[in-house]
Amino acid sequence: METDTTGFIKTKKNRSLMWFLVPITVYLLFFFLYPVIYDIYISFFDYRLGSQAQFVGFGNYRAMLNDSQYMGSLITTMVFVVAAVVAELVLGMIIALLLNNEHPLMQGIRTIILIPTVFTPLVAGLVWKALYHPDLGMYTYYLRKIGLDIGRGLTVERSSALFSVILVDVWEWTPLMVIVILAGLKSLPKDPYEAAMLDGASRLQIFFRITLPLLRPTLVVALLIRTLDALKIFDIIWAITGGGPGTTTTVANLRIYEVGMQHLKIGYAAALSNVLLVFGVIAGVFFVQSLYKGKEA
Amino acid sequence: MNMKRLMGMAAGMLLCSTMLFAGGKQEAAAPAGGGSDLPYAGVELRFAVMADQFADYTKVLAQEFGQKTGAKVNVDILGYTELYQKITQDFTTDTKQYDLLTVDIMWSGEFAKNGWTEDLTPMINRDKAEIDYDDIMPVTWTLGSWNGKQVAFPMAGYANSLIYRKDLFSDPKEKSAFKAKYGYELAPPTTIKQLGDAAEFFTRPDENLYGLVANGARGSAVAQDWMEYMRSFGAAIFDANGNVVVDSPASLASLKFFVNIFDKWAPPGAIGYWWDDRETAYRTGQAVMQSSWSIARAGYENEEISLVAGKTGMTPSPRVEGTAAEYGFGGWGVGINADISDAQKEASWAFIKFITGKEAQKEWMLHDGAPIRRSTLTDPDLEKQMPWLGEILTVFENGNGDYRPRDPNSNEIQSILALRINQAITHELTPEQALSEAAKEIKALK
Amino acid sequence: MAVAGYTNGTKYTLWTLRTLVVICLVIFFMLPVVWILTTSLAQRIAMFKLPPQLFSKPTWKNFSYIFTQMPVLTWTLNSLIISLGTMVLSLIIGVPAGYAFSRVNFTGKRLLLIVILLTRALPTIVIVLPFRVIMQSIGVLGTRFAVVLIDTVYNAAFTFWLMSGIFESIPEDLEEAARIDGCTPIQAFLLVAVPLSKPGLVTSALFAFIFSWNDFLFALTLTSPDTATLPLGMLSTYGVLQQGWTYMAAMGVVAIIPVVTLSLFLQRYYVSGLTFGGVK
Repeated sequence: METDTTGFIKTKKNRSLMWFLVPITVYLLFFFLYPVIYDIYISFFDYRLGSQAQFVGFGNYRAMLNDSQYMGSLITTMVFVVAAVVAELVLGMIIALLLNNEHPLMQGIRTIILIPTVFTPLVAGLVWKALYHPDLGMYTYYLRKIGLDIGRGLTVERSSALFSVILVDVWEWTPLMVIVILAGLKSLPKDPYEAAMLDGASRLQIFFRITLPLLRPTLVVALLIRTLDALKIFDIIWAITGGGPGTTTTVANLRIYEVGMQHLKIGYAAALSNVLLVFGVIAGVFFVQSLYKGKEA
Repeated sequence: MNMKRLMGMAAGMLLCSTMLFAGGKQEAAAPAGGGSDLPYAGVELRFAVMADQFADYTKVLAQEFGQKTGAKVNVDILGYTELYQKITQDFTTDTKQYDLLTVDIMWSGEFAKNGWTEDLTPMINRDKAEIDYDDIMPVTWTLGSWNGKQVAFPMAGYANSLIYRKDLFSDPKEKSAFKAKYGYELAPPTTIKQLGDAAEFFTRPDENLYGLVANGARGSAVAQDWMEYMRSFGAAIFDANGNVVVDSPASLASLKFFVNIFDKWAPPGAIGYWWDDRETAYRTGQAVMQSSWSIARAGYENEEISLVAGKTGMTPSPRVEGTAAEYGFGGWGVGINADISDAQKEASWAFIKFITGKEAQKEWMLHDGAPIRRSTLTDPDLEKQMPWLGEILTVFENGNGDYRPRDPNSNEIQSILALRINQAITHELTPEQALSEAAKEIKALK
Repeated sequence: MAVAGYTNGTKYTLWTLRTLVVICLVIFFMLPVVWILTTSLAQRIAMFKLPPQLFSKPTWKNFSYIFTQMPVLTWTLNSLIISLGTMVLSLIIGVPAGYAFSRVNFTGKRLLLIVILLTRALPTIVIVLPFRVIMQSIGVLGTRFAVVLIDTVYNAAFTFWLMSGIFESIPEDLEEAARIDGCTPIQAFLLVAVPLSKPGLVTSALFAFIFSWNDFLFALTLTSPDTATLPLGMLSTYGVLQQGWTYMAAMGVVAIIPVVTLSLFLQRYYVSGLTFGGVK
């Protein structure tokens, strides 16, 4: 981080650059803040598309507290986000360390491993749905073949349905994590490693004492993006399980979709999504603060 | 210089994309036909069509209509969920993206209540002779009728029937084994008791053969399949006075039977099946019987998508002994967006008359269409190719289009059942709990 | 244990273990990719066979079906225009802002960063409804432009953030030199900083493009039949009463080939662009 003096000089010298911030601010005010304000406003109304809106105060929010499906979906969302993001981080780290050498085979793998990340999520969902098909799916068939007890199918048993959709998210987004971590690894300074080698530190020690702290900012950024995106998970689950069996894979966005897009209850859907937004805000602030803390340290 | 090049490129790209945006809406401008004998030359209609089997051929029919009248009909094929979403958004924001749209029988109440699609009653009365009103099967009018309004015109009628493996049911070895075990002749079941026996008899997991299959996945799939069995038990969601009776004893019995299908007779994965999966289980020969819509019937004979070609029989759905002979009726009507101009409405009405007319219906039947007319169902040419038309006629003559409610809240009712029935078949709730929850939630909608 | 202290035996075991892990991971990540490719060329009836077959007698029927029965070219063109539009707009809005953010200190900086990043946290389902109302009131509902506008909300912030990190990692000295030579701040930005940030630019552009290309919900809500995109077309291949795996796979291949090609082609840029400038 720059010292105070340079910071001061920067401010004076570059004041005109502040104009560069105007377009994005205006744009987001109009297209981001306005919809958010509209959502907050409409969440105080009982408004169903096609009929008159009626002011109900906090009625929608009170109704939400009794909406066991939505409350349950918030918990499912949390489980989904934490499990998927942690799995992606750990797996991404392992793969990045495996691929972080110049063997031609590893370079080749590095090139193709990104393909899942650019898959259209809807396509990914439909493909995995076919692979998971409880009778004809390739995964189902071979998992049974090797003697694994998957009951009536991974996506249709209540015990494994959530796991099976998390796995698809891991499949789709771990490669991104790998690429980000690889990029971080490449830009690490060499000196600390040489010093550690001289001290005779073990690989594990080097990893935890040097690599991980140095990678911290990269990881925080990657975690932030993945967490915010995972909170909004929709396409994959919608395509594979539709929220079932029961409510086991109903994440918040799926419930909001049902209320807003299928039952056309816009006011209530707005209230539900505002609550989800609060979770996003909390996660966002947490990660940004921790990013700054890392930088200042 | 470097900067200039960059700016130039950026400006060029922006300009280029802006022009393309601007072109978005006009590019499909109608090539005016010119001929004065064409009543709708220059008119352009947009038709949102459900992605069922009949969809592909609507394009051909739309072209024929164009040649006759000069109107250009653009057919837009959409899946079930997107179709509902796109057209309801179109209605509520008055964007007039579609002039014509296919209407699910279950949407009738909601569309009528909100005035989203045109009430066709005056037009029907005016052109009664032209449309040969009496030729149209009476039950098909439930496609789109609600509180005295007709918000869609019957277009594709589906009969819910029992589909079974003719070859297995007529196999002498199977017949004698069945008789030895159950004490009566093996025949296509007509009662629920016989259905259960036959399902049990043919369930042989070690041969990968299962007696009876139904949809189990949470969603409209499980809700609609269960309602079909509910009807066979003589139960309903609402009674004649509009009271919620979804938790009646008959209804509970039907749910217990439905749960049995998944516990005992269906392929193991059936608790996760959507319509396409259920059809696949039948077409691969894994399942011996299923309750399905007649629109899928022709597909069983198509060797590209069926391993059981030539082996299929179709019969009206079995029902509990003592209940009146009535069978599930469903399908698609075609409605006119109430927001469009009178001229567009007039052309749309002409299109409806064309596509539901005798000639078009007959041609359509040969290409995965679905019937609404008695003349189509009894046409000798068609019958030669589709010997099952008689069964459809029987179902239509005793059809019940109301067992899946056409109520304005039908979408929410369906969501409630989608979850509760799925919870019953996965044993998260007992059938009693599932139905009492459903009843509570449906009552709360009123 | 010292790094160099492995015996040959452990080394070999480790090597085998590592290779095994790599093979398992490659299968995990690549099987769905192989599946969609082979399924797009499979006979429909082959999908009914057990054991499931990854390779069967290939046919072009699925592709000829989707190209003759569905407006795939229109969808592709729409997807392309929307994605390019989002990319250009996100760069125009996000890159200068990211630059300014990295070069100027002001109070409320962190707050601005948080607010901008929160766009990414906004639940997609409900923003589309008010957005639809706004689009209708300015008369662009149903156009590709409407989709570009909403996709840019999600992407401009990301571009901004990524670029501010990138610019922060570029030393200021060069711009200062240019300023001494008489450049305005804007010239210094365009002539010095932008060319130096090429990997970041490519990364931002690619991410905006991919986000927009893959979007389903916004396109579903905001397009008209003329402006529908490929992901919407995907669902039309899925008939209710018949299994559409082969058509779906063919459409899926059409949908993913452009982004896969693009990202493989540009990979050497964004591997370095993705450090977010966070690591110096």
